[in-house]
Amino acid sequence: MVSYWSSALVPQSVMFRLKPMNTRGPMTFSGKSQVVGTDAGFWVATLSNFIVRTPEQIREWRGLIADLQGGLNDLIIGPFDCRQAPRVDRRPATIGGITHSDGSRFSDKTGYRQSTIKVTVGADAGARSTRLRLDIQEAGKLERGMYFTIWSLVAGAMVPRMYMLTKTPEFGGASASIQFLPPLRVAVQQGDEVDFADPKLTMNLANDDAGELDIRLRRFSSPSLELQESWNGLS
Amino acid sequence: MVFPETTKAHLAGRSVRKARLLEMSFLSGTMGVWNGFGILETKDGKVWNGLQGFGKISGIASTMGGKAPELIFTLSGVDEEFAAKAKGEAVEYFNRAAVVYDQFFDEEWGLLDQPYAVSFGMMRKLTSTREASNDGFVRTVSISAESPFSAKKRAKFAYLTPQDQRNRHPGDAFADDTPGIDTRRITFPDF
Repeated sequence: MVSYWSSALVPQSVMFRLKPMNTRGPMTFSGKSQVVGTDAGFWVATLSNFIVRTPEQIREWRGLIADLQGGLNDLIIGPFDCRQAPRVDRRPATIGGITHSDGSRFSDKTGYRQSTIKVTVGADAGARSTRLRLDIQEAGKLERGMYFTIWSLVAGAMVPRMYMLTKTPEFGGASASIQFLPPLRVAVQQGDEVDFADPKLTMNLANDDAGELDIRLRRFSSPSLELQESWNGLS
Repeated sequence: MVFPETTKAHLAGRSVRKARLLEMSFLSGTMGVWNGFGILETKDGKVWNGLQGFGKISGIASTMGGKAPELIFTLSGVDEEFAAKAKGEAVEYFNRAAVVYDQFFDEEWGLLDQPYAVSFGMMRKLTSTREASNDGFVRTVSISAESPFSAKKRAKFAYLTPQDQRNRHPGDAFADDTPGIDTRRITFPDF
């Protein structure tokens, strides 16, 4: 079961980070301890102070959190990070409200959405690789610290996995060699789309109590959410 | 220990990236797990399922002084396949091998050489527990494995001690040197 985060719910503070999976030895007299890395880490997120003001938002929050069943079901959510995306000429990373060819929109008054950043995988790479060559059709300058997502088909469902550039990329013509973390969760093939504009990843609630909604005066709430990267044994 | 050159160079560095892998030879098939995130395919072609830090291995010690340390593998947050094995028949795991490997990684989390076997034991006892906590239930499966040096399967009189040997064959001094043999230096031939 996969749920998507509603665009009506926006947090005021966002904390996404790669949680390292290190083990430490006992501390010495000087306060130092030895560190051994067992794996490159996984994504955890704390999203706090969501603006929940309207009945629609309250209903959406309640329904969505109940549907996630305390870490049982997957949630596809982004890091709310469009300001740091490699935008072209300061254009928005994604453009919404695009009409059909006859100028009409969908029945709920929304249009198509399209990304203004176009990047694809330039060469095949196996799972657990941390280097990749990208073909850039249209994108601003790639910098380290940017998030990107590659969607892949796992057990019959499209699953997004998010990565972050950890070194300044090397450019050559229309391609870039990047280094990133965490290691590729799923092997990628040349031509796969790399989404810098609207990164998403599959997460679970961090614990059964995450996402409690405390409504003040029967109207207002500013709930928080704790998430960690989903892993269901398949990818 | 004899490490390959690439691993030696890595060990001489400032930080070490190393994961512990566990291979259990169940009757219905071999199962590999490791404590990282997602599936790991090592250079010897084996596939390891990630436990994301839920697993624990304790009791890896050198067998000095004739001790036979017990290995205990603990797994919390158990998947379906594993739970089925725990509830299944003892023949599924009893006296079958469990091997612990180390896998070294390079700076970019690429694989360094093949997994390196560290310890192994024969699985003896598989217990599963379910504890209620504030956040719900926590399920834990533990497997204990004994090293081949433990003599628990043998009857007591069949140890290779000087007394036992003399009981079996009066006057036979064959086993006189066995107590403390692993810490004693014996020069042979002794002129």
